[in-house]
Amino acid sequence: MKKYLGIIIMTAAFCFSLNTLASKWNIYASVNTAPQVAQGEKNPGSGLLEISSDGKTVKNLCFDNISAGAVVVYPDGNKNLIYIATHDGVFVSRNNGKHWRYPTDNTVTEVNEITTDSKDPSIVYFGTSYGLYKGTDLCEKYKQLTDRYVSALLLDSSDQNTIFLGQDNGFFISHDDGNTFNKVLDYYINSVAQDPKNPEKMYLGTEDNGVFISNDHGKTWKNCSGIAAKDAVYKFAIDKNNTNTVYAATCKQGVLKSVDGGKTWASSVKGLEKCFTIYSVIIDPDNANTVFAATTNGIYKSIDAGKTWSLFALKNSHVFNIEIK
Amino acid sequence: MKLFTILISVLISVSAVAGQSNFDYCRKTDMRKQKILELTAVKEYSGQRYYYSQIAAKLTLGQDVDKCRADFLYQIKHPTGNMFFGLPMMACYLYGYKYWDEEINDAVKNVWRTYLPGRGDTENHWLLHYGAQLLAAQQWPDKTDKEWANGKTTEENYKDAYDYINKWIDWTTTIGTGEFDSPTYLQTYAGALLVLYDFVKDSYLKQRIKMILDWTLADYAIDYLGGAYTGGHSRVYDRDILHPGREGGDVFGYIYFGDASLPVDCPELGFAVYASMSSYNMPQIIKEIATDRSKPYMAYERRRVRNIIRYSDIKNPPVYKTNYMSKHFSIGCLDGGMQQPIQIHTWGITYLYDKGSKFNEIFSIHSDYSEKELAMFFPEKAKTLVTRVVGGNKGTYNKPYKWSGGSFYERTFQYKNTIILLYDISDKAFFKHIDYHFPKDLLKREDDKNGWIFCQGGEDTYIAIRPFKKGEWSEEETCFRYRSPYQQNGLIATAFEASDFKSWEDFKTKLSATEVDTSKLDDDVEVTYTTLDGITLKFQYPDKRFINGKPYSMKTMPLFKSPYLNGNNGVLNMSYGKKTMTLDFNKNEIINKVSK
Repeated sequence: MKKYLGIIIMTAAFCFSLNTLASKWNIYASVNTAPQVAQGEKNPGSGLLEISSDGKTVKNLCFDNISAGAVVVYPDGNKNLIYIATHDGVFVSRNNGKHWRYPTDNTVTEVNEITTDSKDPSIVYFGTSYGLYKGTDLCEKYKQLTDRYVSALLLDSSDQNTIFLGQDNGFFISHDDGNTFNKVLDYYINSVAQDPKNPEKMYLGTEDNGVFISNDHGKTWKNCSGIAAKDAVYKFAIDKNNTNTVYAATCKQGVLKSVDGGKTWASSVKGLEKCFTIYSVIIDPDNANTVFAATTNGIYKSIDAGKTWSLFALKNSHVFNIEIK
Repeated sequence: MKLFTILISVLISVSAVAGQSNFDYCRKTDMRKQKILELTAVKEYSGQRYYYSQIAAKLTLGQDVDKCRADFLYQIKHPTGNMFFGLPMMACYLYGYKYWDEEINDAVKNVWRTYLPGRGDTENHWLLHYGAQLLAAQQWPDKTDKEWANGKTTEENYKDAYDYINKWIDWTTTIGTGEFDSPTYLQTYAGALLVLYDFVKDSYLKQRIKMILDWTLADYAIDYLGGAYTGGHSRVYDRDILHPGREGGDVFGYIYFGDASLPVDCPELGFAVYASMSSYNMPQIIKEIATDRSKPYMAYERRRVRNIIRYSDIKNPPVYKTNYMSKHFSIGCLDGGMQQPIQIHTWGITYLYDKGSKFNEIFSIHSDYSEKELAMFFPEKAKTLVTRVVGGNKGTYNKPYKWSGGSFYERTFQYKNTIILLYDISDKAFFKHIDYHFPKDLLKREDDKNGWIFCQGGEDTYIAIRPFKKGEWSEEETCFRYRSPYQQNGLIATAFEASDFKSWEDFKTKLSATEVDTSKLDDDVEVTYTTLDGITLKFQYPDKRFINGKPYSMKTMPLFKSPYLNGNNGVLNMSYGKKTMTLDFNKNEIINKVSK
């Protein structure tokens, strides 16, 4: 009996510690369109929403009517600095959303992508419908680097002067901080991702041709076969501990998953049937079996490594991007 | 002394031209303005609260002051509407200023701290947004960055708005607007500009706003026919096509041109009511251009495509509008490729009936839609766009029966009162039929054995339509639909004053005898037509046009070209009779002249 009691206590302690761990992070969702809600029901609005790890508490960190496309939350490591890419420009808060500044002027519009320099979070790169920009001094100063629709953006984890850029007319790489770009691939690119353990291994999500993989730092690319060879792929999530596990958010095939570094893929749609599009996918940093998907119908959660999904938060909201911090 | 006398003489002669000296016109315009004011004040609204422009109208009339105050305060404290919020709100505040107290003043000032209106994504949205921002920044120059929701200083907000408005004026007067000639959105532009004209303090910008208002109304006037905004339109809703004359823009024709009755059901008055409150007086030469249809004329315009963001290396290709204006009808079209996906109206024959008190339109459409088409203009993920657009207020976008919208596969060629349309519809297109819209109010509509469809619009207009491929008729509530399900397709459309012919039979006989060669339609998408006055038009899809064997190109078309309006590179010359008026945006000046 004592033996069983010990197991029970240990299990309870383990679960408690898991819960404690889980409660350390929140999900940050950029919401493009506020949902229709029933009368009397509270509308979470659109913009940047902070969702507790149990999905029960939702707090709007910005104005409740903005259309947020992408976010960078706390790139400084403190709970202060936030960038939001919006239809109307870049929003910046230095005090965790208490006060916002909108440093870009009327020339900057339709910001679709945003990312920060890993060493200096006051440096920001953002992609708009009219080109790529680099902002410094928390975006108080900015300059235009390209002049075409930006659909994907990534700073190289191994070299901050290297920028990977996806456009409607191809995939481009710059090795001089955006001064010049070379076209590498002639497809409409929606997303680009890099293996966190091996920067040579990269993934591209395209508009019509599924997933491409590179093993030489983006120089050459090979199209995946089967289910991952078609449709639009919007975002990737790579398991930081086991980088052979990769998830891909797609337009019409739910979430794709590979457990062999992109060689083979399987589609997971069980529970996601109501979602027209999966915009983004992200892995719980503490538990690789828990995965979240940002969809046209809210945020969905899987606790079995993507096999099945259920609604987690923000029902009916168009959630473009999610971050866990 | 002599110099002084000359100066006074010049001033008198100029003011006689520019100063709306026609007392009768001014008096009647004032009566129409008053009518709109009163109608706006009493107009029933689905909500229980008065809306912003209604409050402004009521206060101008001194009505229901307490309720106006309460409703205004409530709405400021519960702001909604994004780009449609700021300008009506500031207009209400400024036109009703004498009624407000400290609580209202503080609430209006404070709303710019607590509410961040979205900027929207079209030209009219941005003009409204930055117009409101400019007025607010001007009103409270001492506001700090903590008092603006966007965290900018008043100076920054003012500059951003000031720069944008000037930039928009520059675009309009050099490469043309993207939202041109819209019966719907004319109201937004004219309404916003009227408010800005009244309240902008910067003298340079105020002058530019006066000039761009004149420009906008002149642009309307040249295509205006008895209450109708005719020819191709950049944006129009199905409802306006099926029930013409009910759009907010039409009210400006009623107020300023005065030759048409008040639009049916008195539609949206929210922006037109500013014409009733504004100190702006439209130069009378514009009214004369709008209403003199004693001689037919051609009007050419160059505008631009809405910003293309994907699938193109060119951001704003030109759009060419051609319009033949006659006493009782107009026939006009657009060309230039894909211009707007959802609401473009490519061509039409507008005819007056019921003694000129009503009008309606014959036109055709290829009901095209696609992700790519939308993705050219909207930034969201391409594959999600159709669902999003259809789920919004553009629900007919992907419907096979829609009456507005663009097509990749449609091109036009107009020579005087004749248009040739060609369609070369791809196998990839969702729908492969052409729909023709024939209103039920046509006095006559006859299918001819030679393939023509002859129509009479009102007492005075004879219309001939020649589909290149056969179709089938169906009857709908307000029109007859002729659907032709062929991919290489097209038509000839031509219209005449009935008085040009001895009789209806004479008209049909003569048109039947004109030569139409469609033998190369299926292979080369080419047709040749010899008009009634012997001009041979050859058109090969998409861009080979010949008039009597000579190539015809629109590439050198200026912003305006017609007997009344000629303009390019920031200058618009208006002329009517002996009068001329020049809007010179390069020098920021208006020059009026009367020739001897």
